[in-house]
Amino acid sequence: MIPSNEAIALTPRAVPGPFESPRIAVRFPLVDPSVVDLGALVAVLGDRVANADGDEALVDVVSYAHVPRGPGLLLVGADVHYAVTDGPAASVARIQRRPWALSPRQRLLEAVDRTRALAEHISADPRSPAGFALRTDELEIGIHDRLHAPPNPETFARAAPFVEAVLSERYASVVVTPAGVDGGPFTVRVVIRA
Amino acid sequence: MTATWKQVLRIPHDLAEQIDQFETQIELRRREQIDEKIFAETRLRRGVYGQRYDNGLRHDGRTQRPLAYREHPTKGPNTVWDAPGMQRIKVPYGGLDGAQLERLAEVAEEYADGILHVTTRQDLQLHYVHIEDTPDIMRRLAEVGITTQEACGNVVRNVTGCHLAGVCKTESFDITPYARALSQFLLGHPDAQDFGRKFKISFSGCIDEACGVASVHDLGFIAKTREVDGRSERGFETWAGGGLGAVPHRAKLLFDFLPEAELLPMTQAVCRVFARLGEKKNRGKARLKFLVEKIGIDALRKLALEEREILPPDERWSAHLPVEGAAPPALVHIGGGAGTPWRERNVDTQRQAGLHVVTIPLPLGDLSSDQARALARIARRFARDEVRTSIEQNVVLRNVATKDLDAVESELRSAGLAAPYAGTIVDVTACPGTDTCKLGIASSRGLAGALSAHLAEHALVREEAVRDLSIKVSGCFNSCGQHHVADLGFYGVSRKKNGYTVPHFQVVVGGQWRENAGAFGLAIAAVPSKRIPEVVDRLTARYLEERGDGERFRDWVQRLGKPALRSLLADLVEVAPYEVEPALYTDWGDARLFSMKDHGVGECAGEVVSVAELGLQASEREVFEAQLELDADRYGAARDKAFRAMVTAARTLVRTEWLDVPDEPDEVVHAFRERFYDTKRCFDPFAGGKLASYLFEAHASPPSASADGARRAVQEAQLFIEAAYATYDRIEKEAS
Repeated sequence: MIPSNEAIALTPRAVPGPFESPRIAVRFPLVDPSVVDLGALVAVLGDRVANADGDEALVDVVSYAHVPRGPGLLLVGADVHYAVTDGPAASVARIQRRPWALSPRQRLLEAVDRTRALAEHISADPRSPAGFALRTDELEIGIHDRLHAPPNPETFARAAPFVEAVLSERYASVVVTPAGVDGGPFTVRVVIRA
Repeated sequence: MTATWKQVLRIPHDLAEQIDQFETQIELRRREQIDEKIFAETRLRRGVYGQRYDNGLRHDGRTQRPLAYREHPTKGPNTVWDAPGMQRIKVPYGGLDGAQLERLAEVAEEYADGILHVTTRQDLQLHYVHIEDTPDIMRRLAEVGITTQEACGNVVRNVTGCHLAGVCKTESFDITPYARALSQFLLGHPDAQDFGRKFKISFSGCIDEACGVASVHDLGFIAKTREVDGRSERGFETWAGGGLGAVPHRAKLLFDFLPEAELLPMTQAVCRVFARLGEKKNRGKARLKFLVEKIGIDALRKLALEEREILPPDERWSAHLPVEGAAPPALVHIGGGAGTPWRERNVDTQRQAGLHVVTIPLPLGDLSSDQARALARIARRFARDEVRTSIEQNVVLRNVATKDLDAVESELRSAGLAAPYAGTIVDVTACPGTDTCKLGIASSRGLAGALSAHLAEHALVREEAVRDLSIKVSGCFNSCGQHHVADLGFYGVSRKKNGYTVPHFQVVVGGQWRENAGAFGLAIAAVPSKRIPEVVDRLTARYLEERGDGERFRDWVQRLGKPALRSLLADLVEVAPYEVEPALYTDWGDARLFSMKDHGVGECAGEVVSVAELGLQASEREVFEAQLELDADRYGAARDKAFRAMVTAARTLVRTEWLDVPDEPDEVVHAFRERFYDTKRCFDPFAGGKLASYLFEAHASPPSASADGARRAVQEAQLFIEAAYATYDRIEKEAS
């Protein structure tokens, strides 16, 4: 008989540093969610695939706009996905999916910078809706890896000081609080001030 | 040291070992130590499938560009290692519990794109998965009782079953325990490993409804009872040789009544006949339907009965019997609930008083990880911790009490799962098409999404005669969207027009979904993709205008005939120049100028790799594992694994002529000596019987568990396997 999910609790396992995992997700909310038109962004992100010059091996644009509160519009890569979502919690996110030959500190900073860079690229494209901009006072950081970062207080206790220390290199003030949905991956909300 | 899922999960030993073996095979292929064709079939049999653009190229509408994948070996012919692919997950008869849903949500989130995609055969699929992640996905799923084994490849695929089984008013009896038993019995069964193509099985509880679509399966079982000496006996009306694809075939009646005790052995017998006589070289003719066409259903029945007679008895044949259940209920059609639109469309009464089935329409079959977790909570609280996927790419909750319906509606609404259009024309079915499939020609998901959105707001949908029509869309002629059996079916094609390639859909009308997919539709015209919503509007409007009293859409189509229907769409077929109507030259949801350059070679059943090739490859994997043990100074383990590798290779050769060869080494060695050594068939032109004799020496007096002994064992095993390969090559040459 195969044991049930509940019987194999994830939490008691030894947790190595949560940020040893490369599967870091960074999400910035948008200033004005009402401006997002995912259909209009297909061509913008499609050009990003065609003209990719980075190291992220971008592959395609996939729309999940039909899934309520789903992943939205995805810019899919071999190593990373970017996602633009609409609705009241409209956002731009970047999810690293494979090992990244950088230190945990560098990975986190790069993830933040690259998320912002994609948003700026979208914003600068004339086909994008006017007013497409990220908020500068808040972001979410998640780790999509329940082995290294089970969503529990212990992980938060290990991860929060790291996030504060690293993001303090970018921002004058950084306040980290637990976030995420029930059963979802480990996530923190970060309030920042330049 | 960082923990791994392999270390921390506790899963049954045999499952763990299979997944470890697959991980070894991945490593062997990464080192290019096994053939790409054999590796491709190996991964397909674990449900690890290729995806569009995995040849490393993508057309941007103007030119084809290389994608920036890192250099690696291939993971199959023309399939780049680094390219993300698809993981198919078997869900027999669509049954899942809350813990399984939650685990699926986790793996979708961590390794894929956060979406669980329900297929038209009740499977689930994860897209954009890396091959290195697949062993951990399999381990995490195995922990909750889910397998990906044989989800793809030339094997028995997911055994599907009516999603209303056990609660339906029209069923003869609940097919669930039978579907479960057959699914488990055939998983990895030696008699179901040597097919030229895939083999699909379905169960239906009754003849009238569509839920099992038995007539379009290799084997379709329809529950049936008969009276014998005043006693009710259970069995199955058994249909064989059905299938969709480019040329659809309706199954033929194999047995009018197959007693329940014969379900497993007779299926095994049919598998043996198919493995023996089915086409192996020409994939296009290798499904059971072609064998039935060639020899006739009567000959298949005769051969299956003969094979059944000589099958060695197996205690698993009847382990699931007797199945207790309620007496066959009266045949009464399910009726919708009254009240809110959600209750009216999505809730049906069960045969059990006071309980209900709630259908949750999933747009394009997609469920997000958050939604899957919400569904798990709802199922635990209100539906006895069970959901079922349906072949219409939806999910159903069963056994929901009347008093809980309001709460269920509210919770589903919170999760974005309460769209009130279950089973209506808005609830469009579609295969993945060009979104992810290498064979896709046109965007089936794009069209399905557009049609769904268009129809949801359309006045025509308020007419009951239109509201209940079915729409199914396939990205190509292979028919994964099951377009042949829809009222309105579409499949992707392309046409050269005005110097451009233009995405089109072939319009197929008048198929029958009910009565287990009772009839196929008529192809009437290929129309540019962007005009398909207009096609639907015209056909449905005309049907409403002209239909006779109670005339069904299918009957109207047949009455009107192909020429009249075609003329109705004549102006839509014309393609204006690009400069006049550029939208026609792009596909739904894709800004690129349409092109066929991304169209690739399918993997839907892999290349035909014989069971012998797979067996010899397994022996190579085992000797590789022996080498790893040797490198780690575990000499006893190295010696034992080397011997096991030789036994696997020997058994593989023996099995080419003796299907039921046992697993025990003593018997394998004996049979090998008799059939391949004494006959000199495994002799090397130069070394004679020396290489073959290594097996006998290792069997009679194993080398010591020292470094030297283990090294010798591994080296001799490698040479023995080479000799086995050479022998197999000779057998193949003789056969051809």
